Formats: sequence, structure tokens, C-alpha cells
Amino acid sequence: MQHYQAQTFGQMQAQGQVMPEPPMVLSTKDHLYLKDAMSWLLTAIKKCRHFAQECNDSDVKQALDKTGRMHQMHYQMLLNHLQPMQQQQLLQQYAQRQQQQQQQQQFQAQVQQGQQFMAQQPAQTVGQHFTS
Amino acid sequence: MQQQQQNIIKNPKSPNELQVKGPNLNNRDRVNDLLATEKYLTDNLNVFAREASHRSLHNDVMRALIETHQNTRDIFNLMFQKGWYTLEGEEPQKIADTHQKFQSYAGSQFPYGQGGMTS
Repeated sequence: MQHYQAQTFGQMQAQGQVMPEPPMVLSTKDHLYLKDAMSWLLTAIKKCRHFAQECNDSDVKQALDKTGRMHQMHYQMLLNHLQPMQQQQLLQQYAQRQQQQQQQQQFQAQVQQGQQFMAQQPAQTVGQHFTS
Repeated sequence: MQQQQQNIIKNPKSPNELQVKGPNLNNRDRVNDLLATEKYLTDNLNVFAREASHRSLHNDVMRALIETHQNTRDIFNLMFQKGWYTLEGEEPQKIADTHQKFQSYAGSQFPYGQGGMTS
């Protein structure tokens, strides 16, 4: 899969296409940050719950539980970015789109060649006609 | 001293709060630690949001960052309500001095003229 990714990016660059923004693919850096962020959040979630259980002030308890739930939601949101199928699907979608674009470009190039041929052809025959 | 006392902005503490603090973690310690945790998370989520590659990841991290900021603010407000956070109002004369100073900088150093955003 990694090799596949490198190939499509390489092809894209070779064709001189410009990507307006990074494709929906996780980078190695994204992966490292996701691991970090979820570790910070997990500790925070546990601490909020632990403190809330010990706490005898209802306002403080409420603030702690609210914070813990929020962090848990964020953890889940980040975790969704690491779903096993997701990265593979995104890479495949990306490769498919690449192929489609390539085919379209080839088709357009052929059409252009055809038009050029047609444009040249009558001119030549007309020219031949006049000279002969 | 009289002047300073007037400038203190502070809520009264709860009468239930222990006057003498022991070695155990109390409610105020817990909230203080919670605030420190939120500060740590906003700092680090900020870096993550800036470095994220594709748009959907960036948007999700931004959402976590903004919500964590809002929650940090709520915790700060709670601490203020409980009388655990004291502010001191600055002397009006000092503020007026600074205003005058930076007003003059705006007059002499602005490269876009006086209009700024509106022109």
C-alpha cells in the first residue's frame, strides 16, 4: 500500500499536475500526532473522572464531569481518523481518481491530435488541388 | 494601601471551605490541576491543528481546540465565582498614559495611513 501511494504521488508529479490541497490521506506526522493527542486525552479523561468521584462540591464535580465527557468525545472523533479501512479506501479512491484523470487527459490529447490532423488535412488537399 | 484595596476584584469564598489546608488534595487543588490540564491540551492541540495535513483532520482538531478553549474559560469562570481567582484593576492614569503613547505611534508610524481597515 505504501508503495502504491508513493507511485501515484510520483506519477502525479511527473505529469506536472497541481494538487490544490493535500489529499484525504494520513501522513506519518498526522499519525504520530494522533497517537500523542489521544494519549493526552485519555489521561485527562481518567483524571476528570477520578477527581469528580472524590469531589464533595457539586459545582466542581459538574465541571470535572463535563470536561471528562468532552475529552472523551474528542478522543472518539480523533480515533475515527484511524479506522483501519479508512486509509486504504482513501488511498484507493485517490488512485482511481488519478487513473480517471489520466484517461481523460489521454482522450483529450487524442481528440486534439485528431482535430489537428483534420485541420491540416483539408488545407493540404486544397493546396494540392490548387497547385495541380 | 487604601488605593490598592479598592482595585481588588474578587468574589467571597465559601464559608464551608477549610481555613487550614492539609496535605490532602482539596477541591481547589483539583480545579487548579484541571485548569493546568486544559492549558496543556490547548497548547498541544494548537500545534496539532497547525501541522495537520488534510482538511478534514485539520477541521476536527480545530473543533477539539475551540471546544477545549471554551471549557478552559468555563473552568476559569468557576474559579472566579468560587473566590479562588483574584484580579487587580490597573490604575486609570497608567492606562491613559499607555493609550496616549500608542495613539502617538499610530499617528507617526502607521504605513497605511490613518484609515487602516476602513479605507
